[in-house]
Amino acid sequence: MKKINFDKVFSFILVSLLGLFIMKVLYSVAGEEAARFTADHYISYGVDETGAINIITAILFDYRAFDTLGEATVIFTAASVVALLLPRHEASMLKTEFTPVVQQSIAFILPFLWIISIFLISYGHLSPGGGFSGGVIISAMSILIIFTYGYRYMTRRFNVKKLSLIEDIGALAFLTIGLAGIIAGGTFLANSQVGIYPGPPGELLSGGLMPLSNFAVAAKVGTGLSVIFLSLARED
Amino acid sequence: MHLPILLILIPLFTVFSLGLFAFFSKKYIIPLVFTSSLASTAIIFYFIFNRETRLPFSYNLGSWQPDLAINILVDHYTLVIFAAMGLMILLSVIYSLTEITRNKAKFYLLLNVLFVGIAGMVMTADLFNFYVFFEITSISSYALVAYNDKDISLEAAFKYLMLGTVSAVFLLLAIILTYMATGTLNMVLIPERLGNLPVLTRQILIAFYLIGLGVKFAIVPLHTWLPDAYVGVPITYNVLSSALIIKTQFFVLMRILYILFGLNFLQDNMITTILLVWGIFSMLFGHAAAFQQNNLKRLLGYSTIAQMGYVIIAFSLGTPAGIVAGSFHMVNHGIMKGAVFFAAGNLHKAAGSYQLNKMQGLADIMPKTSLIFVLLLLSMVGIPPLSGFASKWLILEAALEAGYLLPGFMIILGSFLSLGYYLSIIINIYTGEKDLSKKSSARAVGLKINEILPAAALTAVCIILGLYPAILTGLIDRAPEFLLEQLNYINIIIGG
Amino acid sequence: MILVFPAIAILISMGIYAVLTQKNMIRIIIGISIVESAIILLLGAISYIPDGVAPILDQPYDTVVDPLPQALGLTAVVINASTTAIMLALVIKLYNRYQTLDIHEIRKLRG
Repeated sequence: MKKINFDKVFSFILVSLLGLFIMKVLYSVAGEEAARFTADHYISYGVDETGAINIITAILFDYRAFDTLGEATVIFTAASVVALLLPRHEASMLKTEFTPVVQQSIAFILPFLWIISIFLISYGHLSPGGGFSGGVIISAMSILIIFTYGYRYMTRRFNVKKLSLIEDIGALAFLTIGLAGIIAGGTFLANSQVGIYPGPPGELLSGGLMPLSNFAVAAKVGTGLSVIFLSLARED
Repeated sequence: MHLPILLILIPLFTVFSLGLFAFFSKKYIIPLVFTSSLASTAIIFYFIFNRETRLPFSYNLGSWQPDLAINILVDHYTLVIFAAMGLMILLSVIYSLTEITRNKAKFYLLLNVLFVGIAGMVMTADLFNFYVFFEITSISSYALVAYNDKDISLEAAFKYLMLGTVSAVFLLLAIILTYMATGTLNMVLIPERLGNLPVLTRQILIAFYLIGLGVKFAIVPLHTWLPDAYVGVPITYNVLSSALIIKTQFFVLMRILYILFGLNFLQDNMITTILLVWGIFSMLFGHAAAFQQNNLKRLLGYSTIAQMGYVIIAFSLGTPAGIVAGSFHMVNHGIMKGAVFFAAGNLHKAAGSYQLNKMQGLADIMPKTSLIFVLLLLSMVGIPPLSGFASKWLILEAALEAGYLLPGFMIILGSFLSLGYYLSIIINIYTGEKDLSKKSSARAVGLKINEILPAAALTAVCIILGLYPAILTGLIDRAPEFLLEQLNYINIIIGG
Repeated sequence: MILVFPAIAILISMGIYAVLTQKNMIRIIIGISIVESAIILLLGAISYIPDGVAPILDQPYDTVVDPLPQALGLTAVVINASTTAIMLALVIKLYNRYQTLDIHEIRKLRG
C-alpha cells in the first residue's frame, strides 16, 4: 500500500485555497469601473507632452524614468553578484563542436542582428522596441558567439572586466542624463517638462533626451546580460 | 531643494563609479565610499535638525505634476528610519574597513546598493517604484548573505532567495491589483479610490501585502531564513539587517496599511487585533527559540524576531502613543542590536567562534568589550537606567492606555524570558576561568580603533537615550500625524 | 479576458505547489519562474481592452490599450531575470560543493 504524502496533500490544499482567493480578488477588482485615469492621460496627452509616439517608451524614459533607473540598478547588481559568486573555474559548460555550416550561417546572421538592435534602440521612441529590447538582442549576439565559436573565442575579444566597464559607463551616462534635468532647471530626470527639444513627433530626433537614454540603457542591459551569461557558462 | 533625491543619487553614483575605480586603481575605493556615506549622513542630519522648518518635503521626479510623477517625500514619520540610517550608515562602513579583506570593491558596491534601496523604499510615494527599490534591497541582501562563501551562507542565501522571491511575487500581485482597482500607482491618490472595493477584497489585498513584506521583516511563520542567514555573514550585514533592512520593510508595511486602507478600516475589520496577536506570538516564539540556541549570532537573530514582535504590538495599537512607542523601539532596538553585533564581532576575534561554550571566560581577555556587551544585553532586557527600559516602558504605557491589559502582561513576560537567556550568556562570559587555562585557543588580540569606535559610540547613545529618552521622542513625536491621518499625508503632495 | 483569470490563478498555484513540494533546486527555480510568468501574464491581461490598438500613436486612435502595465511588465521581466540569474549562480555553487541538486540532501550533508 502506498503511503499518502501528507506534505503534498497539505500543500495541494494550501495552493488550491490560494488560487481561489486570487480568482475571487481578480474578478472583484476587474468589475470596478473607475480605473484607467492615468492611462487616459498618457494616451490623450502623451505624444504632445513628451514628443515620443511610442507611449511605452515615453513612460519608461520620461513619466516613470525613475523606475527605469532602479531597474538598471537591479540588473547591474545582478551582473556583479553573479560575477562575484562564480569567479573563474567555478562553472563549466560542455564544449560543443558545430559543423562549418552552423558557424558560417551564424557569422552571416550576426551583422543583421547588430543592425536590428541598433534600429530598435534608435527608433525606440517611434516604434516597438527601445533600449531594453535592443540590449537583449545585443546580449543574444554574445550568447550565440559563445555557443558557436566557444567561450575562449568570446573572452579573447570581450571578457567580463571589459563588459563591466561598458556597463558602468552606460549606467553613469543614464545618471548624467538624469542630472541634465536638474541643470535645465527642473528636477532629477526631467526631460520634456523642462523643454529639452521635444521635436516634431514621429521624427528620429524627437522626444528630448529619450534617444540618448535608450542608448545608455541598451549598453547597460546588453553588457549586463552578457556578463551574467558569461559568468554562468564558463568553459574549463 | 534637491536634497532628498541626493540621498538616493549619492550611493547610486558610488555604485556605478566603483566599477570604474576598481578597473583602474583600487586605492580610491575606500575614500570614495567613505565620502559618499559621510555625505548621506550629513543630508540625513540636515533633515533631522531642520525638521520643523523643512518638513514635510516633497519632490516630484521629472518635473511632472504631482499626480502623474513619481514623488519622493520626507515627512516626520520618515525621520524614524532616518534616525537609524544617520547612525548606521557611517558606523557600518567604519567597522567594515578591517572586517572585509577580499573583494572590497564588490562588497562596497553591494553595501551602497543596499543604501540606495533603503533610502528609496523609505521615501518613495509610488507603489511600483517601491517594488523596484524593494527588489534592489533584496538582491543586495541575498548577495551579502552569500558573500562569505561558507557552506552555511550559500545555503541560507538560497533559502532566503526562494522565500524572498515568492514573497516579492505576492507584493507585486498586490500592487497590480491595487492598480487594477484604482487606475493609479500614486500612493496619495489611491486611498479615496480604494474605499469603494468590497471589504473581502480589501482584506485579501492586505493579506498579500502582509505576506509580501512579512517574509522580509521575519514575522513568525515566515521567519525561517533569518537565523540561518545571520550565522555565516559579515558582522556589517548583521548590523544593517537588524537595524535597517528589517525595520524598513515593517515601516513601509505600516505606511501602506495605515495610509492606503485607513485606520478605521483596519480597526473595524479586526486587522489591528490580528496583527497584535500575531506580534505577541512572534515575540514569545522568538524568545522561546532563542533559549535553545548555542550559537551567539543565531540567538541574536531569534532575539531580533522577538524584538520585532514588540514593534508590531506597539504599531497595531493604532493610537498615537503606540506609534511613538513603536517608532522609538524601532530606532532604539536598531541602536542596541547594532552595538551588540559590533561587540560580538570583537569578542569573536578573541574566541575564534560564535559558539557560546567557546566564549567562556572572555571577560578576562577583553574586559572593556565584555563590559560594553553586558551593558547592551541588560539594555535589551530593559533594565532601568538604559535605553531598552525606556522603549519597553513606552510600549507598556501605550498598551495599557489603549486598554490592552493582556498584551501589557505579555510584554513583561517576554522581558523576563529574555532576561533568562541573556543572563546565561553573561554568566558564560564572566565565568569559566578554569576552563580558560586549559584552552590556548582564546588569545588576547589588539582591536583596531575602527572596531572599537562603532560599539562604543552606539553604547554611549544607548546610555544617553536611557537617561534622556526625550531626545528621541522629541524627534518622532509628530510621526503619528503622518501615519494615522491619511489627509495629512495626501496634502503633502497634492493640495494643502 | 474572463478566461485568463483562472489561468493566472492556476499558474500561480502550480508554481507555488512546485516550490513547496519539489526537492530539486532547478525544479524549484522553474516553479518560481512559472509564478513570475503568471504575474507578467496578468500585466498583459489588464492592459487589454476590446479592439484596442498598441500604444504607438502615429495617428489619433479611438481605443488604445493601457500602456502603463506594459511598461511595468518590462521592468518586472528584467527584475525577474536578475533574480533567476542569481538563483542559478547559487545552484551552480551549491552543486560544485555537494555534487547534488537535492535541497534536503544538502541540508543533511552540511549536518
